[in-house]
Amino acid sequence: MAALFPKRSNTVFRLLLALMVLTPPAAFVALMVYVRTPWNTDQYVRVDQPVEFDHRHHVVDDEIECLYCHRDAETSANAGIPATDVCMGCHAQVWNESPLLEPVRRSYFANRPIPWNRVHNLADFAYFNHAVHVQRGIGCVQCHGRVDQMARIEKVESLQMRWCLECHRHPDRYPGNAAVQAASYDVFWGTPPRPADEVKTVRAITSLTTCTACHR
Amino acid sequence: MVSRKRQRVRLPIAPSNGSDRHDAIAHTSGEFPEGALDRPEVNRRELLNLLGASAALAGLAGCGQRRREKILPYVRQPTGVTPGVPLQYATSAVLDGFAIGLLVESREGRPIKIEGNPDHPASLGATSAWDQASILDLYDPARLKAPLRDGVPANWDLALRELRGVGARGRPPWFVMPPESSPWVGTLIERVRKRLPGARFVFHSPTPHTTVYAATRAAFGRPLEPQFDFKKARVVLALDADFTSTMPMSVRWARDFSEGRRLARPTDSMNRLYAVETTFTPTGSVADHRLAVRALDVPGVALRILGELAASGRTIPGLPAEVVKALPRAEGAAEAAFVRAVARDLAAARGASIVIVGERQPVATHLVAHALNAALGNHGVTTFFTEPVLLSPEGSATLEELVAAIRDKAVDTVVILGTNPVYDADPELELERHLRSLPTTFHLTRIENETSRACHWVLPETHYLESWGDARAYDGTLSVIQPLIEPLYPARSIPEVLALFAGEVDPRGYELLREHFRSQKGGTEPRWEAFLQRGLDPESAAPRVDAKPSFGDAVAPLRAALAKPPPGLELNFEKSPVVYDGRFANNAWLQELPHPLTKLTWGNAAVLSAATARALGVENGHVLRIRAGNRTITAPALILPGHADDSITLELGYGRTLGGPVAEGVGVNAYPLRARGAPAVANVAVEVTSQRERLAVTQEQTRLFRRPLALLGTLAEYRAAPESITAVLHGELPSLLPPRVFEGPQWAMTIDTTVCTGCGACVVACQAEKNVPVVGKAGGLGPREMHWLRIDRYFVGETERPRVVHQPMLCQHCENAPCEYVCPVNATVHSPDGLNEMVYNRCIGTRFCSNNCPYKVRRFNYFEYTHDTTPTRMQRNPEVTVRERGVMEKCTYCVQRIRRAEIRSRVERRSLRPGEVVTACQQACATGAIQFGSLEHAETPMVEWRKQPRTYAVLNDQGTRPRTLYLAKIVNTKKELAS
Repeated sequence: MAALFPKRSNTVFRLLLALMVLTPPAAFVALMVYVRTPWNTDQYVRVDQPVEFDHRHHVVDDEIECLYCHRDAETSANAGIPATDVCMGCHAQVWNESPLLEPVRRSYFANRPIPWNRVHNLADFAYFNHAVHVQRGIGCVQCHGRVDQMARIEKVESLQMRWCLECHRHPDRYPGNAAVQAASYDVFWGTPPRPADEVKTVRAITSLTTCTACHR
Repeated sequence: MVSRKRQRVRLPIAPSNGSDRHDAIAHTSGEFPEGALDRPEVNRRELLNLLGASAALAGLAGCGQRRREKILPYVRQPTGVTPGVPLQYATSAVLDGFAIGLLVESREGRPIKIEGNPDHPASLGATSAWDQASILDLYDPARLKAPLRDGVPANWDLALRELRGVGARGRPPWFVMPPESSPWVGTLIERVRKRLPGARFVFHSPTPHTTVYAATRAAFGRPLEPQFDFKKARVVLALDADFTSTMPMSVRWARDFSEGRRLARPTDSMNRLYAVETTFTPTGSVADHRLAVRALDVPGVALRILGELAASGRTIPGLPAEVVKALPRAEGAAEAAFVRAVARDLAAARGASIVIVGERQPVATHLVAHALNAALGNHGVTTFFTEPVLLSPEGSATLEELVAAIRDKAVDTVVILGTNPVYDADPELELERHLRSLPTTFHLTRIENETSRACHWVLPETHYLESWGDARAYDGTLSVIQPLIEPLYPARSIPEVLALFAGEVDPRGYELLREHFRSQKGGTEPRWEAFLQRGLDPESAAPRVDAKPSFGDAVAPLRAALAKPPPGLELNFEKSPVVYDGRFANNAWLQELPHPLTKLTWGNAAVLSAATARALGVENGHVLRIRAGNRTITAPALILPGHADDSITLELGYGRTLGGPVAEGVGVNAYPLRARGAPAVANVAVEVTSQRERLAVTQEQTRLFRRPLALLGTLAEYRAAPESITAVLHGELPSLLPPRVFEGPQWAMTIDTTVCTGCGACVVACQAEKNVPVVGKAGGLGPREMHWLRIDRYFVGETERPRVVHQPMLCQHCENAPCEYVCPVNATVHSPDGLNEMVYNRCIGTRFCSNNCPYKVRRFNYFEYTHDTTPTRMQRNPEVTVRERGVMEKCTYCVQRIRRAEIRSRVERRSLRPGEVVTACQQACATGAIQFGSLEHAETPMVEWRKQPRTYAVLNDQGTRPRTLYLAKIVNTKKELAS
């Protein structure tokens, strides 16, 4: 009697067996990898905004400091998206007939807010506070990247808990050194650079890794 | 599978084992609440189905379209507003005419939390449970959203036209409004009377303050406001006076009274409180000696105390000799001892005692108090008088006069502002029928209620957080009412409607108040600014007036009180410490707040003593049919140790038929039996029906089962052997666990149970601050209550005369927390600064932690309690996570406030200041019983208290090393009365 199965069915069967064993862990690993990729974290997506606002122009060409518009970053948990009247402060005089600024003028005169698209979205159960980070000398660039080189804002860091903890566990490795301090706190980035020894003594960064530091 | 029903033997009360002082009284037999031992009815197949389904669906939770969130910044950012930084504004809440100063936290224009104004004399930074809960009323989805005309939605334009027409035709209108102390409203009333001569004003409250004025008129010849300085009082006699929780100045009085009871050392002096009352009140529960008598017998007891004092040879200034001669002496064994002890103690504390009477008592009891205070030399020291705070302008009238006028066809327009007289007025007036007979009736109200049903026009009223106004506190301090938000719905305030009748075309509260302020003496712009900023005018407290008692009109009421009240069973009507007179009935936080003594939620009950229950053959939950006169109501019975015999207490404010979905159908309406606003009616007949009702009591367990949980001792014991009271729960225990490393500030809490009255303000404050959901009556019966902070109440001592220990119970933040060891996913962990942290996102809902928690303070969200699409969402605190179903939650020691303070200190480059972090419960507490802070700050009361010998840790023997410590309750008993 001829064999019911060809010889290769053994191989197929073994392969299937191997697949059965390997698929669940592989799927698991794949998912774990996936959630860490930019596909999941929304990194490097240049987000369209209702106003074609170009940070490059405002930061580099006009030398406007971050805190001019995002003025709550030093005092509040939120850095703050500027109110329309901040835009109109200049653009009532400059480019006040530019068609690009039509949505801003419409917002100002109709008294309706501009619906900006959120780029850096932190989960609701994580309580991040801008003031304490900025006041301790962590430059905007540390988390938001080189906004001065972005036409449209994109997220460059994952903003995942793992990423927060890297710095919270080893604050010394990150922005504690004067070089970063100087780079991120130059004229484009907020306040003038501070002497290195002041950075050490005044900042006294603490390693906060307790859960309720961020989850309340 | 049939669930196993346990035979429940409900002993009304079991006498305690006298040998064990910590053992107390039980009125239930089981150790566990009903249903706790029942097995869930799930069979094997169902279980497998559920398991499969949950496994299959678990993966789906991660799926879902990610949507890009929008950010809507301001168009013009208002000055002073920084998104993310809360602002506080001063305003005032008014209850029956008396103001309490508040600071309201606003987040981007949304008021979310109410705190007391530390500058305000009626608050000193604390609040009542009602103030705390009033924020929920603002967002109440049941609020009236547009005017109604004969039940049909209309608009304000039509209503305004109608209102403006009132003066033009027909007879002058009558107004029914709540008692008012506002000078601004006073001037508006004057203007209305000038424009519409003959307009009459009824200041209506079901629990009126007017008896106080009637009594001072009889005793001093003119109405006066009695004021008290509890800080100076060594002996206090409270005659049916719940002065720490339901009287006009309670928050302040509770603070002052407790200042005299803070023992830093065993040798410190302590004031003594004698309470004569019917049901157990928060004040009675902190009393050192308490006499429970029928409400009708209180005047008699008062007279006998006065009689004893007169017999001891003390002259009673002003009281006619004929009355003095007729004063009775102490009688009856238990009462005589009490009466003599009180008289002797009062006599010994000359010029340092207070006799205070509840507002509902008849004039005679008030007169006795005035006589006692005068005889004891208290006038001018601990008690003094000011002019009345409440308005009683010319043209004011009573509801009786209104009804008589309606009968005589002398009225055609009645304007009811804010109050609900159809529900809470004397039933014999038949107000509803009379109102319906009128051609034009208006009712201004926040929520449609019983009175609205009888009126043609129903107009939406603003919440006080949406209105402009002013009011006086009990001491006369002028306080501002300023809005935190524009009215959520087109609504108007009482003064705005009054101004319409005064001839204003389109009155706006702000402009009118501003104008009124300017017209006053010293009404300058800087004064106005300061008034708004501080919330009060600091120099406006009413000046003391000299008053000599003459007892001109006192003889008749005193003689009437000398007659013996009718014996037999009485029905006693009390203001509810939860829903007040019914006005807070649609507030779910208050409905869910356990009654301070009975721990009953969502309803009232016929509360009676164990002996009376035995005599009637009644057990908990039996429905009683109570007949007084020709009216009958049915109410479930609830036995309360320490309640007066021969008396049944029914709280007012329940059994609403219209007034919002939360209020309606909850409890029993007691008003129909309450003729002429009497405190109690005699000769009620009670019939036990065959019906049974389950009562949502959150603490069925009153007994300690000989386990020392809440400790109590007398001052004498404490002085003799300071360590003896707490020895049982004191001392370090050896531990196998590796020592924990703590760094940074070390958070801890100390609670003094000596001064805790159990009022519940902290519970509501916690609910408001921490987004704690409401579970409803079904949830309460589950029991699935969610309160992060509860107040455990234990009865200690004799069955008939128990003492009460209130023990606020919250997460103890154990250093060796049993919950942490059993969590399979590390969702509850310890922080280096001593907090037991709960990480909601890790929690998978095994509830192992709750099982292993010896304090039972962990709460599990069984249902989707937090899913809320109504405006009440706007109240939520954005700094606290809104927990989902299936997640364990518990007290976090207000970690959001800790972190906020830490961040502030880091931004300002300084260290944390002592007392910088205040928890929500601590902030609300009127008696200052709760203290919180870091153990590093040794000079704070929190740390100092912990060094006292009466400090203990609940369940110290479990080795949990809780960070929350308690101070044992010390009572200052009098030797002759010590039992």
